[in-house]
Amino acid sequence: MTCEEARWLEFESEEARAHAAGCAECGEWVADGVALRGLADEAVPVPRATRRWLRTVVAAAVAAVAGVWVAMVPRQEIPPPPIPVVAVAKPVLPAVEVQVPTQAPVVARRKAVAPLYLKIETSDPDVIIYWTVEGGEE
Amino acid sequence: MNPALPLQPDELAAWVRKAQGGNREAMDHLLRTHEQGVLRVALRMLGRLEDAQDAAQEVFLRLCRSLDQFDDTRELRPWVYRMTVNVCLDMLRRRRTQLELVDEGAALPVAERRLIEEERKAAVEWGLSRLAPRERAALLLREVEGLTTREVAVALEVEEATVRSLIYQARGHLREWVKRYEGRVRK
Ligand SMILES: [Zn+2]
Repeated sequence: MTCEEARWLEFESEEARAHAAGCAECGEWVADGVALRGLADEAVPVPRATRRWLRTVVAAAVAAVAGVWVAMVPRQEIPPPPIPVVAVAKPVLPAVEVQVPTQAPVVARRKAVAPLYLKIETSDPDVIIYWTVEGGEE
Repeated sequence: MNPALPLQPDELAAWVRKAQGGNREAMDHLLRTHEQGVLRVALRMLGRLEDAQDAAQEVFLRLCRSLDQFDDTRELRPWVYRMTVNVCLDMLRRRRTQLELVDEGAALPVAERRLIEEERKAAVEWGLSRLAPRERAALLLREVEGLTTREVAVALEVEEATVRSLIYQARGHLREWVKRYEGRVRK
């Protein structure tokens, strides 16, 4: 295995690691990799203000999910949509064939309904109510 | 130890679903799980603690805002790192210069560290800061944060073959910078 092959494999195969063990320059590459991974052990300080800010973000995000978005940062103002330019076209009238009626149209007439009389007797034998209902609904 | 590692993908997916449902504890858990990883990457990408903290805040804000659109079948970790790298690259572009480059003639800050491992770590840290941002991001995600090649590919939005190539080149460049650092320290 050549240096290039071992490096291309990122020293992840057995053969590549064996190569690095016997090659000074590739050994340096491996050591660089170890140092790089060591950078992950360093904790980056998070100031209190950031933590507070983070909590605000979380609250706002949860509110947003619930449909109540809290505008916590100035958001870009959305410009009003441009007034649409409407092209006014002359309406094209459809050619209508006018038919002159040769005879008067037959109109269905509602049948004349005889008025309905209601006689309502009350508890007083001297008082009788007559109710006339004209032209009852069909 | 990497705090993002102990969570298995299915555990993480469960937390994501809870957070999507509006569970505050789950949301807080997700943020804390990724907090250190995001900060570490941001610190090494940007070189300044204050900038790293700003970047982390931006990442968490984006995460909270877009979590409801997150498909929990995808893994959250590469997604969070993708946001981190993108935020850092944006900040670097805005800053125009990559990093406040150390004056070539100036004394190196950790020249007096006695332990070889510490010296190597310092050299590697310094070397990282000299890499091109994309190579630096690839190395940080792969080597420091321990993402798989596939996860790095998702995070950087490239093919896995490109990640392998980036890592290979980055390691080569890093080796050159480490040699240079050691040469100057031992002078
Ligand atoms: Zn070799």
